[in-house]
Amino acid sequence: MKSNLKLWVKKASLALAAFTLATALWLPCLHLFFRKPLSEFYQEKGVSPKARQLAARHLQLWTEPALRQIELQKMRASNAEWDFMGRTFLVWSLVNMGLREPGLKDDYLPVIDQIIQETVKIEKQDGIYAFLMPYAKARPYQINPARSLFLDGEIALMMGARRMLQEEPGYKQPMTERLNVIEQRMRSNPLMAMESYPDECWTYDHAVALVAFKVADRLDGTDHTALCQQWVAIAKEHLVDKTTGLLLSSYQINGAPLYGPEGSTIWMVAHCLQAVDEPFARDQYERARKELGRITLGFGYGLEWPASWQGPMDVDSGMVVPGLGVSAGSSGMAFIAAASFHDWDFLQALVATLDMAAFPSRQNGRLKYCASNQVGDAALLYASVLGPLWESIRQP
Amino acid sequence: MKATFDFLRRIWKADAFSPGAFVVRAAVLAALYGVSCAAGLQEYTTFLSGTSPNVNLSWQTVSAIGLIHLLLYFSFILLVPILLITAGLLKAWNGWKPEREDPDPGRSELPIEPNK
Repeated sequence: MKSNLKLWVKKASLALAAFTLATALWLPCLHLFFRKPLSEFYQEKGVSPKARQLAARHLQLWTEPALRQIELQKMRASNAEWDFMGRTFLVWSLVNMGLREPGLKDDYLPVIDQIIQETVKIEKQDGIYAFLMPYAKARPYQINPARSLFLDGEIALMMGARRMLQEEPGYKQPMTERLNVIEQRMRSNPLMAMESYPDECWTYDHAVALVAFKVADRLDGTDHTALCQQWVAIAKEHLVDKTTGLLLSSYQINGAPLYGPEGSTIWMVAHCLQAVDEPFARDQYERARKELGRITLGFGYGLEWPASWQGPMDVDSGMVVPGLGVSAGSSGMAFIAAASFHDWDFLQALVATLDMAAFPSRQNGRLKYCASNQVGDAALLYASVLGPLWESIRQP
Repeated sequence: MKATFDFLRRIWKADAFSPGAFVVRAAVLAALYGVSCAAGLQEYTTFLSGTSPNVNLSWQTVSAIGLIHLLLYFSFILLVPILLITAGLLKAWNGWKPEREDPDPGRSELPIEPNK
């Protein structure tokens, strides 16, 4: 009996040792099965195969209304914002694709126009709340009439981006009107803050709006340089988290912080600021990379919060893996920043994670990620083609 | 056919810590993952993005299905290779140190020999 037990323990120990060794051998090798040349995801010139496949899926959604309805219904059931952001990311992506491949511009322009016009129509018919989360109605906006920088900034940038691809006079006036409203509201308070939700101002939306101003300057000969510089100066002084040096995500109109630095916000903010103030944008990216970007066993991912700040898991962060702190929202946005700042190692590691954990599904040359959704895929598409639009804005 | 069946039976009845047992575990996990894929459960992993693939199902149901596929998938890419490598290592060890290998109770009726 004793001998049997001794033998059992011996065999179990041997098996455990073999299992441990096997784990130690396998884990460092796993990423090799998912690591592909970066050119499959992002190319400096032309359009990568993955971008083309992702775009094909989105173009299908916009050319087959029934299919689009199903996708939008799924997303709106969780968050109406995603419906809106799925549109904006797709427009910005198609503009970049058109700039990369001018020969295909005529394929993209009708879809871009359809998205912009339908979005504006919904906003006109159902009001700003059509694309906001229900809590927007819980209390009144501080500045009236109620306007959301989230909508005004992104719609202005959609129109501006479309005009950068090919001028369309019909968009000039509505874009200018939105930018005038934004400018007027930003200048109406010391922090140059405009609400996206009642008494809730998001750095993300301000950064997008600043890019829209830059686009207007390029297209219409206006000069918002001072406005942009002023906002950046205020942000550096009042909107930076003292511990990390990263910009806060959201704050009240009087500057009281609401959410601290978050991955789902800061990566996109850094990307947008690149078109406005490159050194500040790079500083923010490098800090975010240090605080929130991780590569473990060859797989890249983004954390939602730095170690010094804890926040709640919400629609922006997406699912956060307990223990590791991996955030779907932050990881998705990290693609945009990594591509923007040419952080190829990080981008390649992020793509390896995407292929490993996001369940790519290909059908007839169209790609979607099952673990993602339409807005997530549109953001990934944007990350895979961004560059030319920002370059054309920054050209002297 | 009979030989294959005997082989499978031997593997199935193998000692819990034998190479064969680890191969069986890997095969079972791989088969379960295959079934999950064939059933299209990967679509439910969209719960990770906070979206439901089927608005007619409750969020709990969708998350549970998605989680099952997620666990099976990670078992497939992590556990299955580790179990197979473990089996290989044990096999190699047993081959290198044959005196340490104990008779497989599912393979023969020989009594267990004490260590020399």
